[in-house]
Amino acid sequence: MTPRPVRIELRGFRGWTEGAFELDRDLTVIVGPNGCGKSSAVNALEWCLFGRDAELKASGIDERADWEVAHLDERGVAGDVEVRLALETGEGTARLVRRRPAGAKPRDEDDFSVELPDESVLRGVEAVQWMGAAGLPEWGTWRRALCQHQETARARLTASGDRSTLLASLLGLETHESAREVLEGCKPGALVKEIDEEVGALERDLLARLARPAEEQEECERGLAALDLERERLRPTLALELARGLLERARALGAELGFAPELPDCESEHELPRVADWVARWPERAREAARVDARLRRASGLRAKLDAADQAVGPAEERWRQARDRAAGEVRARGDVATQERLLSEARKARDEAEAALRRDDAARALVRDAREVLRHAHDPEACPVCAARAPGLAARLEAELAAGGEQRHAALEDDCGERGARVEELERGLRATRELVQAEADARASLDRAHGALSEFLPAGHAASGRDPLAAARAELERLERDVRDLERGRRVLDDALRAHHADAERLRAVQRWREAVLRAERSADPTSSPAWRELQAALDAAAAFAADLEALGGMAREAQERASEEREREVNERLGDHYGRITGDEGAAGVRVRGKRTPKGLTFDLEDARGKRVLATLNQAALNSVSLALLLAQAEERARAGRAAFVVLDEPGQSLDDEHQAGLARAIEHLAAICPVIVATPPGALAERLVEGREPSRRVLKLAPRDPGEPRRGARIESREER
Amino acid sequence: MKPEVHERLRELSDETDKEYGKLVQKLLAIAFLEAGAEAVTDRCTQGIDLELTWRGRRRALEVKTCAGGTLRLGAKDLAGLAAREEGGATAYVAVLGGRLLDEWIIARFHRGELAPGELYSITRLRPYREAELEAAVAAKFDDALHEHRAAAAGRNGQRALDDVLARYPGYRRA
Amino acid sequence: MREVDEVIEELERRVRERGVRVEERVALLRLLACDEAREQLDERRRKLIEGVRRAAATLRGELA
Repeated sequence: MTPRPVRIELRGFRGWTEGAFELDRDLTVIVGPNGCGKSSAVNALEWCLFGRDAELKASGIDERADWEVAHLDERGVAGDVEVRLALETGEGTARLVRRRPAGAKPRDEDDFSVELPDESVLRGVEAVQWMGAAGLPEWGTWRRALCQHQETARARLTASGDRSTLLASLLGLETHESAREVLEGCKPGALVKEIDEEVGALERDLLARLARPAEEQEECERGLAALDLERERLRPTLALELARGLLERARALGAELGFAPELPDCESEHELPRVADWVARWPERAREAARVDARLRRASGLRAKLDAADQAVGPAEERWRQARDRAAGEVRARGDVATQERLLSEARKARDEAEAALRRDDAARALVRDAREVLRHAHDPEACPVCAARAPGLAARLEAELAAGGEQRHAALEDDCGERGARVEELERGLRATRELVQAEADARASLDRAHGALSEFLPAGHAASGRDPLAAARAELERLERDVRDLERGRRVLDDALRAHHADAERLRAVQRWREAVLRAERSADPTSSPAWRELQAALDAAAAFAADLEALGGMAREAQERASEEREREVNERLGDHYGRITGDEGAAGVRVRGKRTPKGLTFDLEDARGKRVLATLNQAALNSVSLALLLAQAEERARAGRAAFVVLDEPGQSLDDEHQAGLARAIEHLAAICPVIVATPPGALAERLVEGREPSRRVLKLAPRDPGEPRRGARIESREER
Repeated sequence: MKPEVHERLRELSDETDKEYGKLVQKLLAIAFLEAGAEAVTDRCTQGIDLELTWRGRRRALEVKTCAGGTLRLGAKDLAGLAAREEGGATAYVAVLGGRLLDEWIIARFHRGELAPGELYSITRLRPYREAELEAAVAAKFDDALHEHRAAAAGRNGQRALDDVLARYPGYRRA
Repeated sequence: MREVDEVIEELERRVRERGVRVEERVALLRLLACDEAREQLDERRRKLIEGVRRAAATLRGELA
């Protein structure tokens, strides 16, 4: 059994502070003037089922852009909102309860629950799943097929995409359409194109890579031509020949420079890697083994030193000769040092004696002067002032002593001192000079000895025993060193030339080896089919292509199924549509409008046609458009009810733009539908309301809402009366 | 396919132009015979190109070659294949593309899967491949091409290959 | 039975009638019954083309 609504309780919802009414009859009619809350009453049912889907822009209904769900009190403050919708199911009464606290933000979830007949409560995903399993519609289905909103669905009839979908659902083809859209939406054709693009790119890449070895070979051959190895000379054994040539040159060089190089074998191509290694190291090893540079450096160094030593001996010898001659001259003139020292010693002694005599004379004279002074002042000038002994004539003697004779003697003593002193000085000078010259000669000798000694260092061992003149020996050694250096310089030239040639041939050898490798690569010519990745690629291509083929085939089958279903359903549905339209317009026998499906590249599209097969919408006036949209809605609801899918219909002011006659016709259509599935209608007073209120079949409940009190604009809606028929 | 096979096919196509498809068909016939097909019939008329008996079952092949990655299947081709299916044979489309990444695709014919007259990417045939037939014939085709390329590229290439085919006891020309 | 189940049943019947890739196509049809059918199909599509690209990259790498 599909659930049907039996009662609704609302609190704080739009125009209602609170209210409750039964919905358990086939037909519920809510009547009242504008603004009394009748639309809010039917909206509450919708809001309980769908919550935010039915609000604002999410609903897709333009007039709900500024919708306020909560009732505003006298102060304009929004309060809590709660709507409870009781549904009769096969197992008992279930209640859908939706609550939203005051101040809830747009992203806040409502408190939504399903109270089951067994009193268990479902929330969240479980609650939604229960609703789907019970057959309650989703918002899209509701809006298309079960609810005529105040603003009506007629506007959607004029948008062709929407119209086609609307009509497809009338034919019960939504699911076919949806399946086809999902399958074709994966774009199997585009998938095949993507696969082909990948294959194309890979193809180009592989072709380029496979061509590369041949290009590399060409490039190597051009490089070899620049090294004077023309293409005609290129052969597989060329590398071996070049390698052997290098080894031969190394052997000859060793022989010329006097060393035995260690050379690798080179019998076959397998040995070429070792030879290549040797080629790289050979220049350094050759220089090390030949030791030409070291030997040349040594010989040149020795030569330079010997030469310098040799150059030093001459001047040293000359200096010594001069010093010796000067010293000899001095000795001849003055005598040797020992003699001069002896003479000096004697002269000093004589000088000292003369000085002593002079000092004695000075002392005596001083004594005499003192005595004279004493005698001058003595009482008795004839008595000694010391011992008082009589010394007649003492004063006179003293005077005579101090007179000229004494002076002369003193002067003579002084002269003698001076002469002796001068003699000493002279002798001292002479001795110093002689000593210096002798020392200079000794120094020069020592220097000459050192020069000879330095020379001897470079002379061969046994030279001293040979008795040969060191200078002559040094000259001979110098000549030998000169010859050595010349030989070594020649040897170095030979080594440099050989290594230059080695370097050039080594480069040729490397180039030839690169060429050989390129030739082998070109011959091998990579076979992609031998790689495991090849099979993986084929498998990946097969899998992707199979998926595309399956989608394509299933999409085609879905389209075929849809077309077949459409053909089957059109006749039935059009009959029903015709019936409803006839009732509304009062023209029961009119062929009216019908739904027709047409096959297009995008699939089936549906439109409304008249009996002649012409599209009708452009020719319908407002009232006819309303009639058609209502007829469609009623036909859809009837379809769903007969198919056993949950159906109850809500109509909010369906009589808009219909004249009295059409409103009466609509009332008949509504009553016809209410016999099949529950209908809830909100309508202002008028022909439609009159007919629905007064009618008896099917059973109905009539709620009359009180008009709005202009003095109390915020007061909630009120039910003025309830009747059952 | 192997690079040398790709190269040989390209050369053969350049040298033989309009004959190329037929020559490939005959080389495929040689390959099937070499692979052990009990009987091979080469059809000269429109409809099916090759009929063969393989592992005791009758098979009918529509043989196609293409330079790029697309082929066209005409109404007659598909009608012929459908007729063979109804006649108790198993029908296939055997395609050899001209790219390095192509290999023989021997795709089982299923009514309703492919619409006649459309230009198809070879990729579209991949889901219907019969690996057994492909594996049997792949290497043999390369060998046949290697051995008979010169003859095929000659002045009377088709006749030369017919002579080769005639040497097989299982071969018929209808 | 849900509408979607009826449609899937009909499509499955057609698949079996044609007799081509029956198992694979029936599995795809079962997928259609899910809410996230489209997302799952897109994801599978993405993975398959990704698989082709990966295999192509591997082959390029081996022949480098």
